Amino acid sequence: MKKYWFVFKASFQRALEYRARALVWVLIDVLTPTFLAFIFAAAVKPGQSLFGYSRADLVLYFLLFILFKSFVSSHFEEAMNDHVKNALISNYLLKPVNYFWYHLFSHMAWAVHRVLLSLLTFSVLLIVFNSLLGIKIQLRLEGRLLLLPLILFMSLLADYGYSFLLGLTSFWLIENFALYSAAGILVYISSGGLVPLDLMPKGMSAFLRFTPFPHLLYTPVKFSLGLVPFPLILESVLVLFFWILVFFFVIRRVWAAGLRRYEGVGL
Amino acid sequence: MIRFIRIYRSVVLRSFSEDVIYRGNFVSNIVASLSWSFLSLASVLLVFSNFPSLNGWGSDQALVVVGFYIIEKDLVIAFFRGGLKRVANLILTGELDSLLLKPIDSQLYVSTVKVILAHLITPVFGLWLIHQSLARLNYVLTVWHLVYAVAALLLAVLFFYSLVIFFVSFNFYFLGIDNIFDLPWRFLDASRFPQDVYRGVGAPVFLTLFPLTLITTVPAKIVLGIPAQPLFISLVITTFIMFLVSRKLWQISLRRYTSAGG
Repeated sequence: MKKYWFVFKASFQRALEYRARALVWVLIDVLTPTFLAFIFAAAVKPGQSLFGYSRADLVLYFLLFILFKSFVSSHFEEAMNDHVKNALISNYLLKPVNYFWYHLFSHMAWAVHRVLLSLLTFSVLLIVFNSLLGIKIQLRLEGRLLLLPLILFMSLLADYGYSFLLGLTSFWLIENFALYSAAGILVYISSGGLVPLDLMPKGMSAFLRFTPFPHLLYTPVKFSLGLVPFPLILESVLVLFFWILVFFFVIRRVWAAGLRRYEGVGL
Repeated sequence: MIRFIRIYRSVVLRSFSEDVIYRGNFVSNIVASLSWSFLSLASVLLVFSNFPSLNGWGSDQALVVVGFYIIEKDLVIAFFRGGLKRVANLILTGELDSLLLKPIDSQLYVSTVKVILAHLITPVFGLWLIHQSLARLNYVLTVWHLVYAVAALLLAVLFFYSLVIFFVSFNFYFLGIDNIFDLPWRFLDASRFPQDVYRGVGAPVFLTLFPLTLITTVPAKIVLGIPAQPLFISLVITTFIMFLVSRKLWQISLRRYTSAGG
């Protein structure tokens, strides 16, 4: 465990070294949800509500989505594809580390760094919406602060697991760009990136409930808004736990099968 | 000019040869670009499924805006992305030297050195989307409106290209920020929605997003037969300013290049 703590520390120092790069990533993640927050702020008039969301709730939904996404989202599949294509996996196989855990700890360090930067943009956006646009946004986190970090940590694990599993396809498919794009878009829509899932057609949101995706970001965000009752959040934790186990089990099998195919010569 | 056309012809032919060799890559690019277009379409459809009309725009009219968004985005990707994406790496490795020695303008060269032909498929989807929306609205396009809209579309592509050049130039100042290349595409996301939709959120936001939303709203308004002359003039002025600013920034930034790499 100690060696992975060093990986975490080294990765965090590396993240600090590339501050400009990290800031650009944060800006990239901020823009689209902010535009959507503007649209909902314009569409829902003061005093009105939409499916139980007030105007301020909808704005806060997208701001929290940005903040939580910066912590949860990994996109490790692209790095793994590069590692397989260029035979970089061999470097890890020769070291006394586990590839999966090594990158998980590295990812967590970057996630902590990203969320710290995102807190800055989150604060700026809160000021913009509160003072410039006159939308009074209040965070009501009381009573949720204990459970929220646990849910977000589980979301991070589930997202990393999904991303790692996607990355494992690189052992069989070389050109994965289309698969990653399609999978990324699927996750983005079904985790509530475009609209809260309540605003989607009923059948779609009911189906998604048993997949891991809504629980990655949509449920934690809605929970922070105080719009999820306790039994539902418990269900969300259980679903996430189930999927984390599934991902970890499948990853072990697929990783072993992938290594048997791996030739270590690169392309 | 004739010399450039001859060079560009060989660029297109070479890009075609590469696509024929790496067919998997070609298909992958088509699927990826269609997936991203689907995301744009879904975002507008989901918003408009909850509001029958937003500041005078219904979903069919908004889909015309999405159609132009898809066309503009993929035209810029097809003609300029392949070359411009390499700039960060060329600076980082100090390999920009070989490019600067060529008897051609550096910005023109890096912008046009590769064509991604797969991204020329998606604008067809954008056109189909516009056609379907206009048919549902029972609107018949006149030749004059078509010519007018194509002019607006070309201006929009030039504006967006200039925006990409603007951000790419920052690679000369900060090493390791190759991801800045993705930033203009995120800015363009604002133009998935008609400009008037942002009107309700207040003047500061509306004015900030005004130039970005012009690039899709102006051609959309033209084909929908909504008077857009003042907006068209705004688009001409904004594009002209953006092109000059980005061109100047590229030239100033180029002076910082030391060819030492990073």
